[in-house]
Amino acid sequence: MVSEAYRGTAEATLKYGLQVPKHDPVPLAAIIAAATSRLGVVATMSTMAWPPFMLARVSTTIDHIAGGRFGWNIVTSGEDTAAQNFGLDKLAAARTALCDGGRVHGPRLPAFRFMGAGRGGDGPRSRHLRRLAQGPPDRFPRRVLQVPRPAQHRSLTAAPANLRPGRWLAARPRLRRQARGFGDRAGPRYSRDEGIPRRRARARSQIWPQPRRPQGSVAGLSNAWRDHRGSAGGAPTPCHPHRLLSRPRSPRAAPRPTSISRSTISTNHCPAG
Amino acid sequence: MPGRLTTNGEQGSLDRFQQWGSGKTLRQLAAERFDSDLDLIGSPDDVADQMAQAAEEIGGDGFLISIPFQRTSRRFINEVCEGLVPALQRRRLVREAYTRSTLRDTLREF
Repeated sequence: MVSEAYRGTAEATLKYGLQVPKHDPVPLAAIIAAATSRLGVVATMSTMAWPPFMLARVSTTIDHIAGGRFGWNIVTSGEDTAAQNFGLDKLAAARTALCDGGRVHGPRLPAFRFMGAGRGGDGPRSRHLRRLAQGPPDRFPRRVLQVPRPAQHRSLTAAPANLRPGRWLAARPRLRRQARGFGDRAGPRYSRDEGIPRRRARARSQIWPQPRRPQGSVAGLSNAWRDHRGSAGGAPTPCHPHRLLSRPRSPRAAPRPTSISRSTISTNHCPAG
Repeated sequence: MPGRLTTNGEQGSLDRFQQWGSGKTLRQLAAERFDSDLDLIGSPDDVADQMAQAAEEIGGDGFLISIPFQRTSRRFINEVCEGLVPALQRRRLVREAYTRSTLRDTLREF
């Protein structure tokens, strides 16, 4: 899309060539992946523009071309002009687009997750295949099985970690199950006196740490630098430019993220559309 | 800032910029955003020295190198890949080889 963020027109965008013109990232990501051997390649695809199955399939395919070096940068698009490219009048609110009634991305993300769930792989002995044989839940559409799991086992995503739905996406499936109050069988073992509410609270606090701190980023780095230099005897502000899940790792209960905070990938890029 | 601004995309970036509740003026916010105290200007070795000093003071596990508004060019790539990164590698501040094959494992390497 051609941004109309400045004064409500496209004039400045076109005058200075701000991110226009640009190609579609998906074929570019494929060709970059094929031409390189070590770089990570992360393409931006909007949940507004991509139906979930196509998104899952193309991501998996590129991940195979890349030998497990591909990631999906999750965006919901930022301006109504992006929606108008797809015949819609207005964008849905970002929170609505990512989070539908408490289930992230409504019917969309489960397709993507399922693609990468990978537990047991995509072979005939897969747990998911067995489950499907017994009758699939609605949220695991049968057609997703058309393509193999990603080369990375589970698809890599860069999530908008400043939004609650984005954090939810970034958390491991196990943490999410626990935060909902499920996951008794799959979850780590706790002592008996820890009931579901406490386990749920712990999982939630890992996904949304309190107090919430600013994201580590280039801007965060310079602010921390400033605070440290300007502070009168105060301790330097800890800053982790590559912070995962915006939370320092602790040796024990560190949540292993299935996706990375977007600030790890880029700070100044605009959503696709 | 008179009120908390919201947007449908990049809300996190906007929040980081406006620092709502801090009582800072637009001029102060813009100065902090665009005029960092950390002026990384000079030869690759000068810049790498400053980055090393910052990393030592602040901590962290790597650097995020980007150029605003996707103005990536051959020159930018060359300056970073042929100049800055070797200087950082000589100081052992960035990896010198990829030991893992997938992006997920590379990100978790730290």
